[in-house]
Amino acid sequence: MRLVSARACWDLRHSTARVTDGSLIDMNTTMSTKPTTIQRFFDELSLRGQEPLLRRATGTIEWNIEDVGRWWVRMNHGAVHVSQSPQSADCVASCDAATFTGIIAGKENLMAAALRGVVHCSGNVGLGLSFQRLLH
Amino acid sequence: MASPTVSILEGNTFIVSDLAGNINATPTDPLGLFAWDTRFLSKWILTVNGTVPNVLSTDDLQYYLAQFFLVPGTGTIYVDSDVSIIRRRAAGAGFQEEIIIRNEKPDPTDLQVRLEAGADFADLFEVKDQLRKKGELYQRVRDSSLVLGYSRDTYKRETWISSSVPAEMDSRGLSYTVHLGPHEEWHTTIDVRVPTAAQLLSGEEYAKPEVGVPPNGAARRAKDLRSWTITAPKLTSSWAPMERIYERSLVDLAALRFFPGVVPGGSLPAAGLPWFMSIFGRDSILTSLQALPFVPEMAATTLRALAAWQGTTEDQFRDEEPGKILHEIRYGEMTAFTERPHSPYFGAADVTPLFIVLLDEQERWTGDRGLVEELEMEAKAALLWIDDYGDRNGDGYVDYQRHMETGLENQCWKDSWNSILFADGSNSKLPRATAEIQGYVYDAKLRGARMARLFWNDAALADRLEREAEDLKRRFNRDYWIEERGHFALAIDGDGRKVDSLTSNIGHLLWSGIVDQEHAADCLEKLLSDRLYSGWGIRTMAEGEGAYNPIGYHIGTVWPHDNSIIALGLARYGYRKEAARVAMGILEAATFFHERLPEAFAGFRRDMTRFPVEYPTACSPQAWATGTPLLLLRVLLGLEPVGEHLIVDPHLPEQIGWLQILDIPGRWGRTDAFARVREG
Repeated sequence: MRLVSARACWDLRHSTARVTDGSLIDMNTTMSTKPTTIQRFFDELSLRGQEPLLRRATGTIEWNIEDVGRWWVRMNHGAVHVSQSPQSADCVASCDAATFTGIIAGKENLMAAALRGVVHCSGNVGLGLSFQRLLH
Repeated sequence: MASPTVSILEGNTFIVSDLAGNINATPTDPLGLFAWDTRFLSKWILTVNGTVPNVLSTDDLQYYLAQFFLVPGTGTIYVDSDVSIIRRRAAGAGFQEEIIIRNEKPDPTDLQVRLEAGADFADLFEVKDQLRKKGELYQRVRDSSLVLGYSRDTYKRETWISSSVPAEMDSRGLSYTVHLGPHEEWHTTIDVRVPTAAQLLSGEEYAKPEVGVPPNGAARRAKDLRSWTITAPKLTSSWAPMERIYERSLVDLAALRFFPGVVPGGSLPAAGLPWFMSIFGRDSILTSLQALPFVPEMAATTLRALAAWQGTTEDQFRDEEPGKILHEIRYGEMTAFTERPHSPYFGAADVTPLFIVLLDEQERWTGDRGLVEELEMEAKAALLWIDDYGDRNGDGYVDYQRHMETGLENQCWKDSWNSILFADGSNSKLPRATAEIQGYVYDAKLRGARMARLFWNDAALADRLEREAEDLKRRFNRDYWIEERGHFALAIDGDGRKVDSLTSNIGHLLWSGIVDQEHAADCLEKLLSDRLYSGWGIRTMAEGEGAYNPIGYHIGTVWPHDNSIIALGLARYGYRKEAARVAMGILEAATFFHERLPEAFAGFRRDMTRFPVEYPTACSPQAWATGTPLLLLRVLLGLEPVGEHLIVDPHLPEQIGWLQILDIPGRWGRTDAFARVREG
């Protein structure tokens, strides 16, 4: 199994590519394509704009995906804004790429993963758990 | 019967010990220090010179505080002890225990004091179901603390034990060599720490406990409890036990408060000690509803927390569906490893309609229309779930069927596997549509209509919901009625058969108002018949049914909360005298349980046993049993919000001469209620 190089991660973090057809790629992909999957997920998220299920959640979650990159998801009364520019966060969540890919594919439950210690979550944990609602 | 225990608790941390303060848990005993549904301490035994001291007395002063007065074992009660021992324990992020040893004689003495410590890190499900651990236990002494730990892959839980007086520590406990001069006193404070939510989820090393810090927040908690009881309405009555029962309810309700992370600063009732110190949709909703006239603020937190966790997707493992309200959240190892589906688990068919019922009811009492507006989307999603996922076989009734073996077989309040039975004792088929759920749905639709019209500016929805409610009521009275037995069926099962046992469920139908006037008198007659009414309360299942068992969990025991809902139902249909009789039976039963109603007690006839017989493994305190006296008071006083006013229309049983409650909070501000037994 090939790990993604630091250089590739850097490229990904600064990628401005956007998903234009709105589709998510198959989650049963190999390890090497996970960063793309994750990037696509956040790209798709940033296109959603309004997420009524999160209209009562306010704050910023920083997602720190090991060897892949960092994303800041700002939620403000249902408006979701995704950025890769460092900013202050109310909740910092971190995990490895395999776990995050599992979470966005619906194969891994965020709360169970946090209790098990594969996702680390600090700050406003309630806000962090509300992220699960973006995954339906 | 189990040995007597002392329980103290705070948030979702609780400590259950014997009367000496010791914990010596077997894998299946609910003794120990529990937090996050995990046993962080299964052994905690104090010995002096190698023997376990004898108990003089035990006080559980407050729900979070206990004191144990002990003397070293002398082997005979005829010899006065020269040494006395006091253990003072306060719950909070684990517990803090002060040990005071006094030499009562004029000569010096030397003592070996030992605290044996151990932790099995059992998940509550493992304790309950007698399962074995899959990871590794470890013990080490680190930074002057004894660390008891458990790890399984990335899952790690630790208990840190430290002492204000330096102790000799080994992997099995703490030892002190104590020299006491004449009449001298020695003391130490031991801090037993479990991780906070932040530590648990952050993956960081647990902070070393701060030794010598006074029992974590004890002063704050004492103040908080004072303000809780001072803010609550004041009750006085000529029937002396009433005041004590009321006081007990308020304090236990304070103890059972759970502070959910998703609603910062708010508290809601956790379901009960020892098994259910967590958010349970059904229990938290019904307890909040029972408490509305007295402690209305818990309803808002319950609703917000359940809304935050509302189902958004189809997940068969968790029985989750969009719009569904959760059954239960758990934090233990089996949940973490998805060996149990409680992250959260949604296997309940009645909680979603009850969510609507509570949302509307809290507005009627508190006037908090803001909450109804805030939760409009969640309420509408819940109403959609009822018609869509709720009715899986399309027969017009909400039913349930688990998707996987790890789910609950029965997803109604009688959630043991053998509760929905035919009169011949045989089990019914899934999916089951139990009667009381249809009542809740009827009520939810009417209340949804009221909210749609008054607060959501949605007259079309209101009209539709009212039409559907009317149609449901008509169909229900036709389809569930068993003519030859003269009562409503317990359920309609997967084969379309009427499950014909006579049960307490018919009382819930009165509360919801789904019963046609022509069947109401039949319900009353059955509920107060000797078959259902034991003299203390209405049994879950009638005597004479095939499966009836007076000590069967949902097939013959009496559940106080069940009775409180039925009493409210009887009152709704105008049967005030009978409602008062049911209320009085339960309140009298409370006097046999030190004013603390248990979850359930045996269904034996009152004239046979003379006292209510304890159910072996019942939870206590348990939230909706704790809320029961509060709802019964509402029934007896006939408290009902009408517009901006509180109507008081009392009907007391003869035993209660008069009853007065001052400062009942609500949309009217604060108001008083007074009642006297009617002459004649």
